[in-house]
Amino acid sequence: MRPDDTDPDLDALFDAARQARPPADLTERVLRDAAGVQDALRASVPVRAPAGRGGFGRLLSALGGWPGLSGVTAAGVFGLALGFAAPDLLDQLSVGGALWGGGGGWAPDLADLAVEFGDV
Amino acid sequence: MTDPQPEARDTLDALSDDALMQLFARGDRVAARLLTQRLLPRALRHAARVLGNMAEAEDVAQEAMMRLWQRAESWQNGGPATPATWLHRVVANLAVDRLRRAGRAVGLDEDLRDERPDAEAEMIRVDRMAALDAGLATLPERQRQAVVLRHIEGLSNPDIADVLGIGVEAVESLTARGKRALSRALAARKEDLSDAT
Repeated sequence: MRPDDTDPDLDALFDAARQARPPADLTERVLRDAAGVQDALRASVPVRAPAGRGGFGRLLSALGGWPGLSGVTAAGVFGLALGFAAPDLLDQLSVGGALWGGGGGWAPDLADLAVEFGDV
Repeated sequence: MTDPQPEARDTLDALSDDALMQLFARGDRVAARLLTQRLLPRALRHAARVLGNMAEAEDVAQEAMMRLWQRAESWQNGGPATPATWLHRVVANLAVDRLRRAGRAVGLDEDLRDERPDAEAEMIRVDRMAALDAGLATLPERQRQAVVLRHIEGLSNPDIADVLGIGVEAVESLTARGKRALSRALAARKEDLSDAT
């Protein structure tokens, strides 16, 4: 037989071999294996938030639960109290106070800066 | 197991094996059935012709399919191997392991004879497969694998090279030499049978 020759008898055997199909019980076993693997995969998926837990639940989780939420609430209440009860102190810390606008403050005078820039 | 979702099966039947692997990993039972229908026959034929023993071939085919299922979660769609070539590679390795463990290079298929002995057509088919397996068993293991993958499973030479982990030129050589040797072996067997009758 030369390399490019065909062998009809052999080709017929190959054809017959291609027709072979798995027995039903093997197919059943393979499908059972598949179902077992799929069930295991489903069981290993991370558990999601239970149904009914909406936006507030997710926000609560993001803040660290109820303890986190109580901290945020306390900070808010303190801010309000500060706004109502100590306006003089706030004034000093803002525009008219020592921190930003006072003559003895640390902020440089713009006029001084302009002169220095002109000297350059 | 019955097929509870024929309509879904028809819809998914157009999908590639790659896509079905993705669906399988999401728990789709129809994808599992379709992949089984497409790939199990290939795995079983490959194993049966290399091992020459149907009981062992069924074990190998089932094990190879199990490894495919376990691979589904991490399967890369459009990756270098298709599910079919990947499966053939697993079958080839499992079959060779069995042949080497048993210390045999050949395996004749006596087990095939106990299937439906009352059907004459089945007996003829079994006899022909036994003759083919006897011829294949005379080939070196690599030649046998290459001939089965090329001439029975219809894989391309590059795919066979991928399955067997060798070059394409080596595949061409193996399949050509293997087919010639198989043809000679079957002719000799035919002469022996005619001399004996």
